[in-house]
Formats: sequence, structure tokens, C-alpha cells
Amino acid sequence: MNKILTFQPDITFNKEDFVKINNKDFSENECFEDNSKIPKFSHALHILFKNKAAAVSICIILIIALFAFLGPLISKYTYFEQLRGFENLSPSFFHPFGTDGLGRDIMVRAMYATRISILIGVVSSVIVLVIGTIYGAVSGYFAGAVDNVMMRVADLVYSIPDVIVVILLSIVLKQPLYELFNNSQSAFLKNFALLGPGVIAIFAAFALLYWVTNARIIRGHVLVLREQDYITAAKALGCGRARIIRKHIIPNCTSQMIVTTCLMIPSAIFLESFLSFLGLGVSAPMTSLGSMINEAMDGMYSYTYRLIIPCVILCVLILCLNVLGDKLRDAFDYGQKATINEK
Amino acid sequence: MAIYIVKRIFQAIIIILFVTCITFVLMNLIPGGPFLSEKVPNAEVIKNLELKYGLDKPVIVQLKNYLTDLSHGDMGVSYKIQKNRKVTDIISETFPISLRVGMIALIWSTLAGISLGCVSAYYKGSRTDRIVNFLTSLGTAVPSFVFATVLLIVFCVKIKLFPSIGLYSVGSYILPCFALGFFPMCYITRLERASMADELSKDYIKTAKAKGLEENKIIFKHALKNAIIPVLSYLGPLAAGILTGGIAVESIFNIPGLGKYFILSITSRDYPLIMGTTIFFAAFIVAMTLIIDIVCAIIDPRINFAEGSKKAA
Amino acid sequence: MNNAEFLIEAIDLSKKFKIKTGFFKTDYVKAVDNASFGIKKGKTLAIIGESGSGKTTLGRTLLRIVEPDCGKIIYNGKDITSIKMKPYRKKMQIIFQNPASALDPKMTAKQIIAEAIGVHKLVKDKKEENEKIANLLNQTGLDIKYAQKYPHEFSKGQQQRITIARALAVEPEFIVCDEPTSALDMSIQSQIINLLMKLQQDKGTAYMFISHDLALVRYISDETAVMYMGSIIEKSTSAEIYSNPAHPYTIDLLNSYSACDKAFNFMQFKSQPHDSAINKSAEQKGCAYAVKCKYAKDICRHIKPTMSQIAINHYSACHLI
Ligand SMILES: Nc1ncnc2c1ncn2[C@@H]1O[C@H](COP(=O)(O)OP(=O)(O)O)[C@@H](O)[C@H]1O
Ligand code: SF4
Ligand SMILES: [Mg+2]
Repeated sequence: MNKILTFQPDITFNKEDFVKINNKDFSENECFEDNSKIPKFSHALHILFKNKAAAVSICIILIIALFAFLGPLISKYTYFEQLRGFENLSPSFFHPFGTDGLGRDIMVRAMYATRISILIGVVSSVIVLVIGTIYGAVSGYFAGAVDNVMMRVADLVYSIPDVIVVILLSIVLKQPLYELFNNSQSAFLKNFALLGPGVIAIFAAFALLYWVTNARIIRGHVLVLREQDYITAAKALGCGRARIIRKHIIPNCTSQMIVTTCLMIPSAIFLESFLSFLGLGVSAPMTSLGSMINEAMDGMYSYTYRLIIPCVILCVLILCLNVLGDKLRDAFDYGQKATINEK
Repeated sequence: MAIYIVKRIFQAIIIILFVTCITFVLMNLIPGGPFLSEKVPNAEVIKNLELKYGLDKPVIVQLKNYLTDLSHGDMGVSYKIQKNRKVTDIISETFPISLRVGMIALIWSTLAGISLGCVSAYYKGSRTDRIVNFLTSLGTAVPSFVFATVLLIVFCVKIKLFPSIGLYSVGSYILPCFALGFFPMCYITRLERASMADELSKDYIKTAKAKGLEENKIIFKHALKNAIIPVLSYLGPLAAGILTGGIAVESIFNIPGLGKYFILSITSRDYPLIMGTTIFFAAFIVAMTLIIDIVCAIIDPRINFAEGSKKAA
Repeated sequence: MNNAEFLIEAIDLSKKFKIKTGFFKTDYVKAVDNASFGIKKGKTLAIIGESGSGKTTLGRTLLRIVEPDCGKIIYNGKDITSIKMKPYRKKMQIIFQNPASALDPKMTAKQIIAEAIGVHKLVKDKKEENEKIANLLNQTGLDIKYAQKYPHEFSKGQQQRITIARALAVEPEFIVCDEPTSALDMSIQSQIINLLMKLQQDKGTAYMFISHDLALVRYISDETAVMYMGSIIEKSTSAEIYSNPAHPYTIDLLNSYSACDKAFNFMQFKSQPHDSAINKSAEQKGCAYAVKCKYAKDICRHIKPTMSQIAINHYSACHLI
């Protein structure tokens, strides 16, 4: 069969020759080029887990998450329960981190604080992910004038001083949200009331300001994707734009989405703790790492350890998330390089 | 190039105007108005106060008035913190303090970051490099307010080396500036280390080495010039970060800078002061970013004119 | 020419692309310049030409994946240049040069084919869909057990079979085959060609077969059109083109081809694609081939030759004829 197409001008053969060969089962002649080729995604994860720093970070994050999410279930205290006569206890067997000035168990409060900080980080990142991905994908896919306008808007949003605006939002939203939450009947909103309006301000700020980086990364990737033949094929099949973006463009951005989200979580936690520290974030009696630090500032001369506990949790959490994000990015970069080299 | 600069300036003006309007409108949307929290039993009194400050007019008219005043450099008067004192006076009194602390932090963090990054890249893989790498990744995980608190406890409370409050001596500058510059220092070190290592592995450095040029000379003449560019483009967000980080650090060390007044104005709902400081901060950050971006664009022709500089983490 | 015979016909199709030549300067590349041709039902038109001559663009413009700047596309006697394409999408399909990039890496073979079926709602229920997919895989010589695999798990030849199955899923009457074999190994090339030929025999599909492989095209096409720098410069039945080439470019092409060994690579013949892009925009008047043509006369550099009939069903654009 090989012979036929190794062309020699003087050999004459005709259409029938081609067709005749067809009767054989040709699929058996073909073998898989390389069965061991690992797909890009698990390839990247493979690289990630081989990295010691990344593995340690993942373990520590898991431990902190267990502490934050399972801890309160085991402990017999709650974050708001004030134990009369047990104020300002030093660390002991029953209260490993002691109690605060109102007689609340600090360990349980630390668990709740960590939980809230992690939740805020994750939720904000998801908000950013959704907005950034859609914006970036649309901008990149339509390209041309649409892209130009959308990217200029992104530039504008990008240069708005973010922390200032967040602070502003948290002040402004405080009163109306407070009323909204307290007057509403739905349990969902009541839970928000527990967190306080500052948290909503953080979410709003992320939704309004922080999607730009994400959108830019996604757009850059989409500009490459849209030239791929499978997009052309989808067009030739008659798929609409929305369907192409939904079914072909966005699923092929997953690695970019994962990496940017992982890098966004620590900065969201960072921002939340900053605002709560200034007294603008999570409001009492609910607590977060930032507001625990804020509360502990008053007694920092006599009860220094109360300050140290949330500080350490916060720093370790951010550190591990940073390391994980960095290594994840490296792993995906490497994965991408590897597949490019293969081609 | 000229087009780029004009475009950026235009963009900066739009942003400042935008932030001003948003600030103003948002502040006016707050139900109850600024005097509600005060214990004024009499509706008559509130009415008089509102008349006095022009708060009875529709928002759009107020905005117009505010913008006209602003263009004359008038930001109104403080309602509460320093009653009836001009906001501009407060800003011009307190901002130099913040600026001084911020500048010192900016300069030391940049210089230390670049040097550390270079050393680390030069001895890549050595123990020095690993220690620097470890410490800086630790450092980029510590928010400046946490670091400031820790410094305060260790050096003022436990060791009593420095005064903990105010800015009365040279010594009292050390801790706030150190705390403020620590995070950016770590970040710059990592940036510089990465770009320097990248630069050092390039062919032209190897060629220069092979030609027998002295190694140190190569690094300083060639590699550093290229490797410093990512750091330069980080300076804009860095300035913004130091300024906002200063808000917390000033509160911790009790420095009477603009950041502290910003927080004070928020907690006591002194609206003209909130607005004044917000707009001032925003304008300052936008201006700083603008200047640094333009300088970068002049220095480095490779900068992509369409994209801005990288956002701080 | 009797227009009514054609399944699909292009009349004076042109497409320009903007290219950035400097910070502010933009220039245009005439990727396709006044191309006219028609393809009959169940027949194959081969388009040959060197890389960068606009073959791909021509194929895509014909399917309106790339919108033409001017000209008309007639399908079955109906002008489809500016109407909604959706109903026509299932009548015309395309097969790509590089099957690896033509398949969405995040979809299984089954999902890829199912999408084609789903977009046009060709089946009533899941069961029918599964049957249809199995049938398509079978037709294209793939085992049904591969249906749940992702594109990277297939070999290049198998990937190309999937793209063919996807194209066939909508039961098209016309398929643009854009160099469907040039990214494949020799042995697999022949299998894919065989497959395409068999499908044409069974279903009576018309092909526009883009290639730079003269040997291949000679035996599978009924008609051949030669492209040079965006224009079709010669067009006739395949036998005529090979036995009686008229245009100097075609003659050079055939000579260089037979002069070369069997491992002929078209790349050797092509001019630098970037050169040609610049030439194309700069040189607006005259024959595009004048720079290299042995027979170039003065008139060739000033006046662009137009297509003229030189024999029955044989057209060429050259002042010489
Ligand atoms: N999307 C595009 N934008 C700009 N130029 C293009 C684009 N597509 C093709 N071209 C140009 O049009 C010319 C023809 O390209 P193409 O149709 O791919 O040729 P072929 O398939 O014969 O190799 C080339 O010079 C190419 O650079
Ligand atoms: S028109 Fe002139 S230059 Fe062009 S191919 Fe014919 S003879 Fe050659
Ligand atoms: Mg092509």
C-alpha cells in the first residue's frame, strides 16, 4: 500500500486502483502513534505533585481547612457564647488558646475566623473567575472593534485605585445593606447579615474591579484559540457564537482559569483581612482573621498571644496558597511547553 | 510615543473624574445623611445645618457645585474631626508626613529588593539563594499591617528599643518605614531574581563571558539594565500599595499622617473629609502610576503600549 | 458554461486581508482575487497552487466561513452570498489539513460527532443518535470502541477519520477538502484518499480538493484549477491540464515536478510566502507571474491578463495565448 503514493511520474495508475484497496480493513494497519502520551491536564498535576513545596503547601492548606471546617463541630463552644466568670483565661487544657475579654473561647473563634476568611477568598475568586472569563472570552472571540472597546474599558477599570474604592464601598453599603438584611425574611440574606455589610463590599469590589487581570489572561488565550481549526469547523457546522464560546472556547481555557483562581484566592484573603483589620470588613460577633487581629490590638501588651494566633494562621494560609498558585502556574506552563514541543 | 502619553494622561483624567463622581454620588446615597448619627434631637437644627452646607439641593446640583469648588482647589470643610477646618488644609498638613514615610519605604524597598534579587540570581542554587528565596516567599505572605504589629510588639513593647507612638525622632521613622517597605522589598527581590536569572542565562551574557569580559562588569552593564525593567513597571502599583498599606501602618504606629485621618474620617462619618481624602488618594495613585508608566515607556521601547503595568498582588 | 449544471458556483469571488506593516500603516493582501469556477454534483474540482497562493482562503470563502469582499456564491441555482447560512451549513462541509487542531481537545470523538448532529437536530432521540454515530464511525473505518476517546489518544490518520465522520454527519452534498492528507504519513495518505473516494462513489458528494500534490490530484479529480497569488490562472479537466498545460506557470510547475524525485516537496518550489504577500499588494497591475515568467513581454507588466477560453473547457489567463 505504501508504494502507491510514493509518486513516480511514469507509472500509470487510475482511480479504480485506489478504490479497490479500500475493501481491506485499513484501520488495523494503523497503530496508535504513542499510547503513553499523558493528557495535558493530568500531566500538569503530575508535575505539581512531584514538587515538594507544592505538596507540603497542599497538606498545610488541608490541615488548616480541617481546622476551620471540622474544628467547630468537635468543639463544645461557639464563637459567640460568652462564658460568665471565664473571662481572660490563659491557655489551658479546656481552652487551648484561652478566652477573650468577653469569655469567648479563642480557639473556636480562630476556627470560625479561618473559615470565614477562606470562604470569602474562595467566593470572591469565583466571582472574579466568572466575570473575568466571560468578559475575556467574549472580548477575545469577537476581536476587532469589540475587543478594542472592551479592553479600553478594562484598562480604565484597572487603573482605578482599588483599595480606596473598596473602603468607600464598604462605608457606603453599610447602612442600606444592614437594613436590607435585618428586614428581610430569607434565611440566605440573614446569613449575610451575620457577616456584615463589609463582606458584601468586598464581593462587590471584586466583581467590579478585580476581574481585569483574569479577563486579560483569558482573552490572550482566546485570541490563540479562535484561530484553531476546530473553531472554524464549529462555524462550518453552523454553531452560533454563544455556543462556540460556551462549548469550545471556555472548556479549553480551564488551565488558565484554574491558575488565575488559585492566585486570586490569597489576594482576596489579603484584602479581606486588611479591611477587617481597619474595622470595615466582617462585623462582630462574627469574626475573621483580620477582625481577630483588630480585636487583639487593644490588649496586645498583656495578651500578645491573642494577636499572634490569627497572624500566624493568616500568614501561613497566604503563604501556602501563594506557593500552590505559583507551582500550579509553573506546572501548567511546563505542560503547555511540553505539548508544544511534541508538535 | 507622544500619542501614547497623551492617551494615558487623558485616561488618567477620566479616571480621576470618574472616581470623584462615584465617590460623591455614593456618599449622597447613604440614607439619613451625615448628621443622623449625631445626637441632634431637633429637626430644625438638622435643617439649618443642611442649609448651611448646601445639602438641601438635588444631588446633581451638589455634584456640580462640588466639582466647581474642586476645580478651585476647595474641598469644603470638615464636619466633625476638626470642625469647620478646611479639608485642603488638613490634607496639606498631614499628607507630607505620609509622603515622607512612604518615600523612605519606597526607596529602601526598591534598592534592597534589586540588590538582593541580583545577588540571589548570581548565586542561583546556592545556599544564599535558597535562604533569600525562602525568606522572601515568607515575606510576600505577610500583610504589612501584620508585620507592623509584630514589629511594634517586639521592638517597642518587649525590647523597648524604639518609641511606639508618633513621629518625634529619627528613630521613630525606622519601624513604620521598615514595616511598610517589607512586603514590596520581598516582592521586588523575587521579580528581580527571576528576570536577572533569565537575563544571565541568555546567549549574549555567555558570549561576553567567553570574550573574557570581567564578569561583574557584564552583570552591571548589560544584564541589570534589562533585568530591571519588570521592577520599574512594578513601581506604579508599588507606590499605590505603599500608600494604601500606609493607612493601616499609620494607625498602628499612631502617626498623624493622611492615612490615619482617612480612617478617622470614616469611623466618625466626616463626609467632606472622606471625600476629600478619597479623591486625593485616588488622584495621587493615578498620577504616580501615570508618571511611572511614562518613564518606563521612555526607558524601555519594548513595553507594550496597549497594556498597562502589572497589578500588585 | 451552462450554469444550471453546477452544484456550487463562485463568480468573481475576492477577499482581501488587512495586514499591519508598521505601527500605523496597514496594507492589504489580496488572498483571493476574482476567482470564478463551478463544481458539478458528485464531481471533484482540484485546486492546486503553492503555499500562500490563497487556496485555503478560497475554500473558506466559498463556505462563507470567511466572508467574501465581493463576488457571488451560487448554490443549486440560489444566491447564498448574503443570506442566513444556517440551513446551508449542513449541505457544505470542510475537512482540514491538520486533523490535530481540527478536533476540540476537550471533547470525545462521540461528542464531536454528536455536536454536528445536534446543531441541525438531525435525530429524534439518543438511541437514534447513537446508531448514527456508530454508523458514521463504521463508514470512516473507525472502531466503535474508540468513541469515548479524546483526540490526543488517536493517531493522525484516525483523527482525520473523525473529522471526516463529523463532516459526513450532516450528510453534505459538497465538501471542501483542504489538503486533507498533507499532514499525514505516506501510507496513511492513501488510506484517507481511498476513504474519500469511496464515500464519493457511495454518496455522490462533490469535492473541492485543495492540494499541492500534483500526483494525487491528477487521479482523483475531474477538473483542476491552478492558483497563483490569489488568482486562478488556468482551469480545465484534469487530463487536459496534465497533458496540455497552457499557462507558463502551470508548465513550470509540471516540469519542476517531474524533474524532481519522487520525494518531491512542494516547499522547494514555492516562493517565500511573505515575499508573495508583499508582491501582491505592491504589484497591482500586470500579470502576477511576470517576474518569473520566461515569456514575459512588456504588456505582461502593465495589463493583467483575463481568463480566456483556449480549447473546449480549457481556460487560461495569459497574454501569450
Ligand atoms: N486571517 C488572515 N489574515 C491576514 N492574512 C491572511 C489571513 N489568512 C490568510 N492570509 C494571507 O492570505 C494569503 C493566502 O493564504 P492561504 O489561503 O492560507 O494560502 P494557502 O492555503 O494556499 O497556503 C497568504 O498570504 C496569507 O498570509
Ligand atoms: S501573462 Fe505574460 S507574464 Fe504572465 S504568464 Fe503569461 S506570458 Fe507570463
Ligand atoms: Mg492552506
